[in-house]
Formats: sequence, structure tokens, C-alpha cells
Amino acid sequence: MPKNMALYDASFGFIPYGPVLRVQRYAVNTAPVLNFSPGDVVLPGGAIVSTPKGYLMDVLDAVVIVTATPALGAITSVEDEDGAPLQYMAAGRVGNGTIAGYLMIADHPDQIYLAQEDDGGSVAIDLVDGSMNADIASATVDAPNTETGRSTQQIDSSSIATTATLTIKLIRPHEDDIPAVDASPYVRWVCQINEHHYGDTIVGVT
Amino acid sequence: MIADHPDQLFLAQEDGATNAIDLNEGSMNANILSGTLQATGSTYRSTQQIDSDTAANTAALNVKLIRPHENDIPADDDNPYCRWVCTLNEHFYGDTIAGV
Repeated sequence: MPKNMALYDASFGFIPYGPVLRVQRYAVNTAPVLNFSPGDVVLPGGAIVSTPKGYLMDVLDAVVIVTATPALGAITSVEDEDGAPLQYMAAGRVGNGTIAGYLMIADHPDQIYLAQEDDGGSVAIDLVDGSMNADIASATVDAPNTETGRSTQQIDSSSIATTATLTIKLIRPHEDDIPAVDASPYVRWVCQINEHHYGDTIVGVT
Repeated sequence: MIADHPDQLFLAQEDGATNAIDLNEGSMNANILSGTLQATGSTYRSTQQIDSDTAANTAALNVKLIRPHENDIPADDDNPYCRWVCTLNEHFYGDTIAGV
């Protein structure tokens, strides 16, 4: 029985929708400022780190995702410094003193995701805005839902625009959700990353 | 036959001249270095390499570095031939690319 989830504020971050095209392992440096949880879209850190699982690229652990900055992808799972699964990685985690742990990230630039729009001040994304770009809204230091361990990132409804430097591109609403109703504005949208680190002619990261 | 998908990952050796790629350059872009007329010696394999000295954050470089091969120790100037997992940053079938 389809359920119109636009009625419920139940964010879950960004989860791969349809085939998962690629997942790769990345490192989190010790004592990160941010929390990291499944569903978080993260930024590349710009350095290679020596870890027990080899040399890996790190992720940016100091600031949440911001507009006009190419993203790396969304976290699919979190591991501690020994590779054991974590519900989420809490800010400040020390790990082995070099890395706090690992993130498995769906980092293919064509990966499609599902994410909930925020209420944008109680105004849902309009139908005529449904092919536009948008930014991601993050909680302070990417705080997760500590009960479920899921990301609380959402599509920032009020950022909808045709601007090329916004982080994601909307594709369509989830088939069970009724979009563009201001009284029930938590529609799940199928979307993809518009500004991707592995996109074309993208600057490197230091 | 050409692996021509714009998101294809590749493995290539850095040329190590003048120095190995540093760890803090491992998410940068770089250019490809080719031999004259692609002379291949006895193996007939390509001699193309990642041009270590070109590692920079410039958008208009050929490849984007992702990480070193799991068996190689990077950033060692005495052993500077690290293999890198990389992808083409400037691809003919990429987005907003001029026709030819």
C-alpha cells in the first residue's frame, strides 16, 4: 500500500535509489569536527592518509557541505578504525589517533539518490520547480538522528533555482508522494549530485 | 578498442620526475606524460604515465587522482613510481565539452 510520506517529517539523508553504481572506501581523520552518518553527503578532504587498510583519500571533516563546492557522494555505511561497523561516527572520535574510522561512499558521479525536502518555511517545492537545482540543508556539525543513526540532511526547499552551482539536481518526486502541497511539504525527491568531485573539468582539492 | 566511459577508473604509474606526488596532492588533478611517438620497446605496452610534476588543483588537467594502489607506498622521492587509481577529468564524452 503506497504511503504518501510528504505528510511526515522523517529525514533520512541521501540514499542511493535504484542501482548502486560504485562504492569506495574513504578515511576520516582523528577527532573530526563533524558527525558522519549513513546518508550524509560529504566533501573531499584533499589529502591521502596512511591507514591500516592502505592509503586512502580523506573526507573534509571540519565544515558541512556548502553551495558551489563539488561533493564526493553519500555515505552508505560507517566503520571504526578496525573496520567494525558503527551506527554513525560521532564528532571528536579519536579512533587509533590517526584516523577515526572509515566511510563507504557511493561516489559515482551519475549515482541517483532519494532525499526528503525540508519544509522551506512551510512551502513545498512547486511542480514547475521540479527540474531545478537545490542545495543541501545540514544540521549543525551534521548531527544525525541519534536514535536511528541516520543522516538528517535534507533538500533545502528554499534554495531551488536554475543556478548551475547548486549541489543537487531534482529529477522527480517519489512515486508514492504528492508534491507541491504546502500543508504536507516533506516530499521525497529522486535527485543526483549536480556538482560532483569526479565530474568533468572539476578543480582538484588541496 | 577503447574504454571510453567518462566515469571509468584507471590505474597508472606516476613518472616520479622530479619528485613523487605528495600525500597532500593525492586529490589533485594531473596531466598525462607520453613518450615520443609512443615508442613501446619489447612489451608493446603504453609508456604513458601520470606527470607527477603537474599535480595541481587546476580544472584543465587530464586526470583526477583518487588514491594510491593498495600495495604501493606513495610520496617516497627515492621510490617515486607509485601506481594511482585515477579517472579522466577532461573527457570527450563529459559534460559541456566542445565537439571535435
